[in-house]
Amino acid sequence: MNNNHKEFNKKIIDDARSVRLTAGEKAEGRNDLVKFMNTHPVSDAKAVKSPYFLTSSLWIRSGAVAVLLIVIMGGTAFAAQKALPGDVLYPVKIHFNEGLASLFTFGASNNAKLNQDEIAERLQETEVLSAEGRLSPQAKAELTASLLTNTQDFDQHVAEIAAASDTPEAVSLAEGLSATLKLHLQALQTLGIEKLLDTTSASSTATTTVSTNIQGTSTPPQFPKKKRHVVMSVSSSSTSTITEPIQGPVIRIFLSPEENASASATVPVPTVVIPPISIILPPSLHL
Amino acid sequence: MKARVDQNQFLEAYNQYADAIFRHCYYKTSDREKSKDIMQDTFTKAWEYVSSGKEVENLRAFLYRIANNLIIDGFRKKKSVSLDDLQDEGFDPGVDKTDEMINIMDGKLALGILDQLGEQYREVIVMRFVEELSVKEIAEVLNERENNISVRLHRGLEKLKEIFNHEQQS
Repeated sequence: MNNNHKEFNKKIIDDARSVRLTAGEKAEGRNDLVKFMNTHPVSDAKAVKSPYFLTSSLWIRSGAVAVLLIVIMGGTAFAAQKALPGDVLYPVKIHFNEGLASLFTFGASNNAKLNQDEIAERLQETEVLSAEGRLSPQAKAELTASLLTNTQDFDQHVAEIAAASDTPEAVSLAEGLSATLKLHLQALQTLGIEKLLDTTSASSTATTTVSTNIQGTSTPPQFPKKKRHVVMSVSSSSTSTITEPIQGPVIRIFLSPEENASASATVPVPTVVIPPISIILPPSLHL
Repeated sequence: MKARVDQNQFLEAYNQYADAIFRHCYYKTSDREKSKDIMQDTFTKAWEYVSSGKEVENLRAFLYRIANNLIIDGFRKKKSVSLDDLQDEGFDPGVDKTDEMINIMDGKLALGILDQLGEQYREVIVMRFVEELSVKEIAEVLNERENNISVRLHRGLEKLKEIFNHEQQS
């Protein structure tokens, strides 16, 4: 039975194979083909490259992937720029966009300006969220933390600038931040950190609190020997450390260690007189 | 591996595969003249492709694929024409080759049996057992997965067995 079946199959296959062109037909077809080939010779052109030729080189492929990544990341970063706390892209804005900006910002002055921009951004975000009624406790905490960090960094940068004897620059930066904070006073109040206006170096300049440091009651920056540094300006008539705020611009005088050692309460501090302070501080900044 | 084909290689391919391509067309169209034309067109189109500098991985499978596409196109354009119309247009039926035809048309037994399989199985059975294409080549020609081709072959053989049993009984 099985053999019969095999026979049957073989017969069909053999029969099927018997279907073929006659020798004449085949030769005729060949002649036609040769004629056609003569009128259509092989093109000298090199093999046509696939339009997907990018796949041919690993380097080019890697480059294409890199470009794609840059486009995707760039697009995400751009979209994240308008994100608000609570949005999916907000962490990208905070950690990637602003992180990248600070990575490429050099110098105390530029960093202070960057801090100021970020403070303004946080306050604006607060205002928008507040207006839209989306200011959740979590967003509030996030914004407050960011504002405090930025103001601390800002103060640090301003102190560095002042320590480098560039008082006008320090004052100018402090004024700038003070103005920004005042502009967004409502946002500060919303977050309950309006005290920030009184505690930053911006305010200490603007509110003209006087503080002198003769014997190192606070940690002075490290200075080269025999050099006096006026951190913030103006004189004090007192020869001892003044702790309570009084009217007038800020003064912090740091002495080098040798001077500190020899300095006594009778050191005539008032010999440091900086009269132009009234010009540096515009009256509008005096609270 | 893709390779460029020169004129001699292509003519060699014609000698080798012309009958097989013709047969493949014949089992699909059941029309000898039409099958001849499709076979000729298949080689012409294949030459156009390779002569333009494009490379072909498997020329044999490539030829079957072109033939299949031409058959499908032919079915789409199918329309009846009368012999009178053709003769009016100058068609000459030519020499009577009836005797020769009788010798070469033995395949009718196979055609009758294979027809009972249905198009789906006949196609793969003919390609695999008559033309001896590999499963991979058939998959390439039909643009299907090898696994599908294997299943169809298996079922086709089962059906062939049924036909055999039926023939035995009758």
